[in-house]
Amino acid sequence: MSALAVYLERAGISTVVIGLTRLHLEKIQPPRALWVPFELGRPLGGYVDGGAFQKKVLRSALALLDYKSGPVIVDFDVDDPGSQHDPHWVPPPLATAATLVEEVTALKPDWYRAQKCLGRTLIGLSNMPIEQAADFLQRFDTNNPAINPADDQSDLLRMRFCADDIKTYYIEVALSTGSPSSVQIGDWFWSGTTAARELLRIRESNLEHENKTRATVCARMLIPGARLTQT
Amino acid sequence: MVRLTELHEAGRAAALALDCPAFPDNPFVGQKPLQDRTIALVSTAGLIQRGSKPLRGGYAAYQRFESCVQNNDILISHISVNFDRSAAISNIETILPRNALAELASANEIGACANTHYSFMGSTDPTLMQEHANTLAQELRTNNVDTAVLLPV
Repeated sequence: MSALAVYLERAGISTVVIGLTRLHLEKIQPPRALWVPFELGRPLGGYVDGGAFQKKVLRSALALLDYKSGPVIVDFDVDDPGSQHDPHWVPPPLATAATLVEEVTALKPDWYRAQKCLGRTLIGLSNMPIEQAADFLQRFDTNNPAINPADDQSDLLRMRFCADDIKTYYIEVALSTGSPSSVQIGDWFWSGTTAARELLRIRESNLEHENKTRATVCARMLIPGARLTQT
Repeated sequence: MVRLTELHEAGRAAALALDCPAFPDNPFVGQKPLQDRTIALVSTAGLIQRGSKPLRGGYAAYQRFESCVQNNDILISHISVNFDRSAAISNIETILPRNALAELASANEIGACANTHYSFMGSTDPTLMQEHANTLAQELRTNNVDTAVLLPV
């Protein structure tokens, strides 16, 4: 990100970077950078107060364009109000499900409710209905052939995209019952769902796979590092 | 985080070990009032339009998001699993604040909001991105955009 700023600036475009890792800003020294102490994935913090906090961060970044010389790094030393736990959040109940498909199907009413709240979905990478993505995942690594070889995506890529869609589905379900923090959502997902168990199974069963790409993807692109230390 | 002390051990080790390029030339385009600037957003969330093929890791070119692209048609295809997606799922403005920037333009706090915003795949070797950054700079100048706000995930 910071290197990109340097390239654009060299080409005559003014830039300001909102940076999440101060160490990297210090090393690369982009022309103008606002360091924010937020969780990875939240360059503007959470969306609270109708976006007022995010706009405050954005204004702070834009203010760096008034500097006459650089490089400059300024700290936005306010914590993200959107990172607070929601004490009133009730995790969506999980029915006893023998399979991922069963669990996904059982959560569908909660997901529909989430759609009414969110007005959108970030599901779509696999380009499959969510039940089909779940089915693909639970069949992955068995004797079944590719489920949907309709295009040139390999099974491995498709598995990754299905996994991303499944995780997004559960996050959207979690958001149907309040405003949980990312930690609350993660604790619920990784400690109690069939989906998490399925992802862990895929990872574990492929760590020593003879196809090194497959082993790497399964090792690194399914489970967050922070959660691996807890499982 | 992203205070390093708040990262889990593996994440902290990865952040500390990341090979960061140095740029001793310190390029810096001169000052200009905010009210005279036309500003575009550049995300490294690996954003794609719904229906497009997700980006692969290391893909160095950029994607365009014209103003007609609805928020519901923007997806995250970043390869990393080590960042929070719940905030963006809750509101995509978290990573691509198109509405917020447009509101700043409407309030005359900035000159104008660009009609098109952009996204690269993060976690990509910066040297592979240089050529595409130059192409993007040319495109921005052609569209009379003089400023970019870069947002990581």
